[in-house]
Amino acid sequence: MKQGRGSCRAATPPAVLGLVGLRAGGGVPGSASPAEAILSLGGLLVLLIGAWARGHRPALTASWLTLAAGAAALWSAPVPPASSPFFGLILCDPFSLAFRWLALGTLAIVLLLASASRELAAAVRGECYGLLLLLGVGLMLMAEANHLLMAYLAMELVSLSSYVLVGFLRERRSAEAALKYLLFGALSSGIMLFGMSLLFGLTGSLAFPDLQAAVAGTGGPMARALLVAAALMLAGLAFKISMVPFHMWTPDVYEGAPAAVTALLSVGPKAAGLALLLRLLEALAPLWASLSPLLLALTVVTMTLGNLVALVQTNVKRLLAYSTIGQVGYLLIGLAVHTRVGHEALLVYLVAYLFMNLGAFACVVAVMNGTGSEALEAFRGLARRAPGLSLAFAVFLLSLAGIPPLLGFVGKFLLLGSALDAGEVALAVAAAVNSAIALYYYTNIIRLMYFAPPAQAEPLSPSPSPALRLALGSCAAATLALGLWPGPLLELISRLAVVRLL
Amino acid sequence: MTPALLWIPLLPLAAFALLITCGRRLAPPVAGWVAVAALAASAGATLALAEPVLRGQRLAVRWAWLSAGDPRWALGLAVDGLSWLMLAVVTGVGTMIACYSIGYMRGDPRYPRFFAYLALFCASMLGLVLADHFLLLYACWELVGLCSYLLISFWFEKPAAAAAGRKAFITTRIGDAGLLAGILWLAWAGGTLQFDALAGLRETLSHGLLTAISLLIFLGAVGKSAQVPLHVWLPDAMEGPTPVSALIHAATMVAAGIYLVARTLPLFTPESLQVVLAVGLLTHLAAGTVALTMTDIKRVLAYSTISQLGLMMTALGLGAAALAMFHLTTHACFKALLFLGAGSVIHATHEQELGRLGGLRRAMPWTAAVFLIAAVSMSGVFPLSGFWSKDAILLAAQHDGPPWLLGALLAGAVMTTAYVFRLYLRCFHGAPAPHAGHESPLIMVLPMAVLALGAAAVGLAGSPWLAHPLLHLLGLTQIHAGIDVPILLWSTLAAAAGLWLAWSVGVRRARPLPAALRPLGTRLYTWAANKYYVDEWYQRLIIGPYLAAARGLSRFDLRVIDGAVDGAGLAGRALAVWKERFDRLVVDRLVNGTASAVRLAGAGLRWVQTGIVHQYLLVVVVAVVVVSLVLK
Repeated sequence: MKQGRGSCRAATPPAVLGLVGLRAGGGVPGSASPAEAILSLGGLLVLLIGAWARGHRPALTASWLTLAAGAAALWSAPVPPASSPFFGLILCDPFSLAFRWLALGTLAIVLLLASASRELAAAVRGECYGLLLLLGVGLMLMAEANHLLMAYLAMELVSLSSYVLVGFLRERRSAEAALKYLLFGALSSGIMLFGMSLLFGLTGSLAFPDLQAAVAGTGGPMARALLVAAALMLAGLAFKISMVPFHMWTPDVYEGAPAAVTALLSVGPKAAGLALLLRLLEALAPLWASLSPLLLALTVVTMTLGNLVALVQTNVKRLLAYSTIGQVGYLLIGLAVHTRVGHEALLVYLVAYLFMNLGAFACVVAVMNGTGSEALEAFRGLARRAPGLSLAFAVFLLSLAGIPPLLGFVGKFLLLGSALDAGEVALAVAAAVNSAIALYYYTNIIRLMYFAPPAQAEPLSPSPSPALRLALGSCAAATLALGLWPGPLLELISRLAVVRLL
Repeated sequence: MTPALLWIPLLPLAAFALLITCGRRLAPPVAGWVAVAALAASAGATLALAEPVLRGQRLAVRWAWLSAGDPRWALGLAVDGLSWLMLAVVTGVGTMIACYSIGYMRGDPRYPRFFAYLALFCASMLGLVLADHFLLLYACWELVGLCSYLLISFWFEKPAAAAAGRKAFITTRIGDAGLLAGILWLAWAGGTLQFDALAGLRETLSHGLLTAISLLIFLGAVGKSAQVPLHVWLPDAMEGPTPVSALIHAATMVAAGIYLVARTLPLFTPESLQVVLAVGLLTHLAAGTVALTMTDIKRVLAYSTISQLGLMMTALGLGAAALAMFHLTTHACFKALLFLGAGSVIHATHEQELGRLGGLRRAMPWTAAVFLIAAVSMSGVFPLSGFWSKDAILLAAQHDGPPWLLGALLAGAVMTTAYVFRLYLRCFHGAPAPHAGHESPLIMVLPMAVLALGAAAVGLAGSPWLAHPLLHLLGLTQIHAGIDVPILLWSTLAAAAGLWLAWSVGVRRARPLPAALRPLGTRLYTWAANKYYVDEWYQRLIIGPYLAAARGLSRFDLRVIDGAVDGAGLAGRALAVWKERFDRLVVDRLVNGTASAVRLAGAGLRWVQTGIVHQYLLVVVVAVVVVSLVLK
């Protein structure tokens, strides 16, 4: 029996912990995760309030209080360079801190969208808020996971909450989407579990730092088996981040889910999944030479497929689903080049993606509230019916397309730069060509809004609610302001920079 | 003090934002007063800065912009004597002109929009003056160009106004391109775009490089300040509302070029200064002769501005930045006043042809009085403002310039007096014209009165009587003490000669030339009256061939390039359609069955569910197997 290093030091080493690489006594759950604890408790509480209270206001208030408390806890918690509480199951380092903030930000904006969305008005919204908070916990834990067990649990928390959220509407479409998602997800996590058990059999540990050491020491025929294990685990994560060829659920689920949930799915799990993928790849770093050609190829295929198919979509949620696949392709550049510059660019682009994509979905929610339609035709002549909304949507779309001076440009510029920096000229060229293709369908919406005559002349009604205005305004302000003055953001991210992932 | 610094450009900018967004909801005069209040507050903030600046302090506020390890990209605002003087001119004259516009623009359908543009114009000019970095200056420089376009073609229903706006924009763009090239070259060669580092570059950069860069920067100034050969836009810009002309000619647009050269004078080598001097002098004299022949009030004033800007460039060419800025200040006062007076006449009579005006002195006594003050000041008559600034330049020409320069400048002074008095006498004296004028309302007269005070007395700040505080402010230390009597006599003589010419030739139509020289005189007159055919030459030599080339290229573009691009686009679209079809027909049908069939036939749902599980397994498992096999 192979024992983890930590268990040797512990006074009373529980054998079962050592078996899976847990470090007994490796840390006290003190300062590290109060934010997650608050969000979990708050989430459960909101579920209860949602079940008992009349209307959704009490649950919403409780959600905001929870979110604020969580943010305060995250803000005030000291961040040591790295600490691994909970027996080394999670790792609190600056890298995960960035992703925890991203998760909180996503959660806040999605909460605004969910509370303002008209299609959710008939549903039991209290439950929805509680599930959102729990999903947020899962996202944060995914970014922090330092152990395959934790990674799996966090992913399942995210997945299970999303299955319910996707099927939240009392429509057949929504139920069907949830079912598809569930089935695809179950299969993927099964495959991933298979990979994990294979890996455990080969290395005798599930903790990332031990894995790295063990993988480095494995040679001969076992190396081949390691690659198979890696491929199986990659499949599970690829499902979460909609990487081709595990993307097929994306358009169907995005189309069927409530728009607010789609917004969450398009940002939250993508960010957390990329964080986990980064850590996992670091743990499997000795295999990098074999994995990198595959990752590079899938990166190019992902962005190309997403952008090409988006060209011919007529439903805005489906279009944004394919756009998400394309954007994930860009994000994967930062991962595939495997340099520090690439990781920084990935983080910058994730921040940009958070604001611009959630903002775009906020616009979709506003238009759906006003017209009840999610067809592209609903955007025809929108500029005359809702000028402010159209302007904001145009900003988000142009930012998604990577037009200066918006934040999306800064992120994409850095990603392309990191590709060139790493000598991956073909990758950079592919991304540039893809940007050109993507510009077509993004500007097509702008053309519809500004240059096509509207079907109806009267102003959009109801005009966006205050919550929606807040979401739109903050996303637009961040997209524009950080695009004009990216200095502070870049500085912050280079300080959080990923010196060591394990 | 730094907050005040930030408020100076931000207040007019805020007024612009307010007026452009909800101007239509404000009652017309309120919109005007918003702009006036913002400009006046900026003027107040400028005054608040006076004390430290007069003590020689340099106030600055900087912030990091894209500071990813490179200090070059820190932008900032800074005030020293030079920029403080410009601030005072822009905010002071701007406030008066905005105030005047409240009366002048009354009843215009786009009243709030006019004041929004006016505020933005001033805000960009203030930003330009305050910038301590070439990049920020260039951004504001382009904003100034944009605002001039918007305001010149403000009455865009008139084709002439729309064309004039376009002409101004495109002509100044030629200069802007030079400026941009100069800035980029400077950034590449010198490694800094900070204004306070320019003096240091003189030692590090080679002589030839400096000459090239400074000439490119000067090209920008030639465009903006309407120097030969890029002066053609300024007379056409008269199509804009008259307050706009006043603003462009006095405070904002054309002053930017002079300011730019004064600011970057450390970069100019003796060779490039020679070019500046030559261009300035040529502009001064050529525009002066054209002004003598024009018969439209505003065009006379337009050419007079070009001529005076030439005089300032001449001073810059002598290396006397302080004197150029001094003349810019006094010129801002009397030229703004002349334009506002002209506007007052046009407002009252709806006439701007000299031949159909006359005798307005009785109907418009206030306008006539302030116009006279401005004319006398411009002629450089002792001891009004124009005298001090013009005399300082004459003195510098005598000391630092070639011997003939003083003569040339005196000839220019004769012309200056001649055209401005020809204008004054034919407008306000003589037989009353059919148009019965009336005095303008108080809201227009009051700003003119304030400017008249400036036109009379601002020059004293640079006079030996008050020990030259203005010139000290501009960093000039060696100043001629006292009044140089020969120069005083010469310039008075020039003014008197000009006055005689205006009276005898301009009004009385006397023919002073001997008969033998008359054909030559007539020919010269025709040339000047046709502005030396510059526009026609441009049309024939540049615009015509350019358009022909553009037409040819367009044809090439339409047939060859568009064909290729369309082909590529169609191919891409076909590929996308194919892929989509594959995704939809093959993948979706394999995996989902058709979703629409599910919705239509609810009974089929159970069947689809089983299908999904099966097909999901298939696709995902196949993918995993393939990936595992591919990995080596």
